[in-house]
Amino acid sequence: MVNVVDLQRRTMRYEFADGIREFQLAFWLVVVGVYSWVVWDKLPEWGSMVEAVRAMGSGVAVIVFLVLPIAIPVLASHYGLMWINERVRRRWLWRNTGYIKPRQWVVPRRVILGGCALAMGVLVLGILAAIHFREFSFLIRSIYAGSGLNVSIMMGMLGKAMGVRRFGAAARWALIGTAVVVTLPVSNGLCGLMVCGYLAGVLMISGWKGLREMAAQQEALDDAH
Amino acid sequence: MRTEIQAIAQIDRMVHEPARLAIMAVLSACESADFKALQHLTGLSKGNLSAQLSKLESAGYVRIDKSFAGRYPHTECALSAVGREAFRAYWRQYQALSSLLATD
Repeated sequence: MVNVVDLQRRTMRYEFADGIREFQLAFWLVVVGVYSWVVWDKLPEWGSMVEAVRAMGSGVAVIVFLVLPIAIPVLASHYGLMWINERVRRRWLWRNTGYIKPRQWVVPRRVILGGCALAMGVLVLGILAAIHFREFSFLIRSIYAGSGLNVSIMMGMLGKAMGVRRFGAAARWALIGTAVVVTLPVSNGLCGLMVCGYLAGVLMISGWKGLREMAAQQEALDDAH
Repeated sequence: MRTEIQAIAQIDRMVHEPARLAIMAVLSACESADFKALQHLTGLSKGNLSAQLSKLESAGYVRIDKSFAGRYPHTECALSAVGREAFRAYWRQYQALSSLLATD
């Protein structure tokens, strides 16, 4: 009898087995980390830039000077990374095992919803703590903690659903590291940069492991052929 | 017993054949897959895979795009909307039948 569930799982695992997705997510986390650091810690520079644009007095100026410089690199890097991923996989990583184009929603919806629900829970706790202790930092730190928890839960659930073991380890390290970093006595901006940098580091290590395993597997198949 | 026999009789035989079921299971979990990936995942021989894909294409369950990547022929396969629905219906029937048999 054909094991349908196992075949589907193996097909979906293609997308996560080589570590490329982890590199992609790590890249985004670095971008978010740097952005939060600039917004919180480089407030004078950021504020003066916003003021300068506002002084120009039109919505078009805001779009030209604030939205486009962020949106264009973000979109270009997103589609650029997808383009690079496909070429790297077709020519090198999946040369013996063929190419699979993943579904648009490659991460199962319950995984996304589970991660987001928990992150929202942490955010609510942060809001309550900020109101109770009259300390704005609790809110900011809860956003960082929620992001780390989201990454951790998603990696954990995804690893379980797809049978990718290294995701479990990445999930644990993401959780432990985030819990430590959000409590460090540093500025909010630096904390954001550190959380995102740490998570990106965990994902890069995990991705590198996947990449090495996949490269070794393809070499073994080359030898077999 | 009559219900079970009816359920078995209603199973889509185009999907139920093991090689075609394996192909459809793979294609149901992705947007598209090339010939090599299908061969790798299903473990079918080139000839068998090609024959089964042709049958699925004739039934309107699979779309096949043939092109050239450089000098090499490249075959990309994907489930059509009809194929996706047929697979879902088959899987529902199969699970219902499994639970029916398990309760007896």
